Amino acid sequence: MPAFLYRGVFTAAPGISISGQAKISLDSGRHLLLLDSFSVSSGPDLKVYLAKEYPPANYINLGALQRNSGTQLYPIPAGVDFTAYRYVLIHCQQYNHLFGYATLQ
Amino acid sequence: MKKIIMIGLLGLLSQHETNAQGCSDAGFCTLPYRHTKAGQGEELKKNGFTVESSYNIGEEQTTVIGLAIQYNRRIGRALSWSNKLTAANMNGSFGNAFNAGDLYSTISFVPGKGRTTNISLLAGVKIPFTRSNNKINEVSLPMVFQSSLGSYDLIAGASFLLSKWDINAAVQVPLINDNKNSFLSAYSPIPGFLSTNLFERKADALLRIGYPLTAGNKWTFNPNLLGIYHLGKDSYENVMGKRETITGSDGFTLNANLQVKYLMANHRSLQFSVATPLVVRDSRPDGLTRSLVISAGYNFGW
Repeated sequence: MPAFLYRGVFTAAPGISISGQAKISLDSGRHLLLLDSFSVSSGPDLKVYLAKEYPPANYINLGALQRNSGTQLYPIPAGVDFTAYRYVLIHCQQYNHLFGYATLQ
Repeated sequence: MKKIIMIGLLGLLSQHETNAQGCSDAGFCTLPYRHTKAGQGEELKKNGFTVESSYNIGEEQTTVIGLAIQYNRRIGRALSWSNKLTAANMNGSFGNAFNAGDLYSTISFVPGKGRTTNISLLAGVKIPFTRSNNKINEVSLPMVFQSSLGSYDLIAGASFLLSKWDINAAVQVPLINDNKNSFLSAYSPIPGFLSTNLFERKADALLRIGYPLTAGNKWTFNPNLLGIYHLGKDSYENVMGKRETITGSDGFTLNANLQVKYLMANHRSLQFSVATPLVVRDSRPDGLTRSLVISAGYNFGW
């Protein structure tokens, strides 16, 4: 069981249902994002962002949300400063609509 | 450095309702904009309808079946209004995708006294039906799997007859970019395609030179060379959320095209076209990467 460096609980944007936690771990020198016990409303083009703020302006795109519910893992590019990129966002890229966020602590 | 592709056939347009397929461009070379006197072996009707299908081989052996219907309406002696709807089915390593493409709505104008001039002008718009973010099983797809570039474009052009040479010049300028493509090669399950996340495409300028030939009253052959200059580097948003220009995405493309038209009756015809690029840009993230295009169409007027 990896030790989690940061974690946060998801908060929903208005009109959206979201639950679960975002957890950052370090495994073999690489940071990973774990969405734990995760669930979110369906959306057309949901992405997972690591962001400095929300709505996102400065962010790292971790790729498409793998599925709307369940535990899932996302590799994080090297060199990310988690004191700056403090938020994990679930964001609909196509319609630029925030679904939810977790503040990493 | 430009990649030189083997030389294929010269293409060409049939009569002067150019409906050429087969260029590695964003579609404007497929539009009709000549209504001059030369080469007219048939009476032009007030209304024209064309249905067309094409077979295209794109990058990574992706095959694209294109479909198009087009309605032309003459308005007086000098004006003609054309509307073309496109759709495409893409099949390749990601699977199979089908979607509507674009509407091309154009007005062509023959200055002077109707059809007695050797010049015609064209202006119009391209309106996308998709935001270029088709997916298969929620997997983002590269641009070659998209049926539209996802931009609202302005099209303007002119055609000239110079002796027996048929010359077309045009520009296609994206006015509003609504491309929401989300393909990032770093997250793709299949390699070989360029990232086009939130893709932005630059304008094109086109010059086509053809030499129409007729054989009897039924056949028209139009071999032509089609040069397209992509006027800037395209860009996409990378994993770090930063816009990145794509090296080699600007520059020159040269296509060879042969069009054949068979006049079945005074107002019905079959049209065939085969085209291949001779020179291509180093990088074509927009997915306009056809190595071969074969098309057939049926046109009738009333």
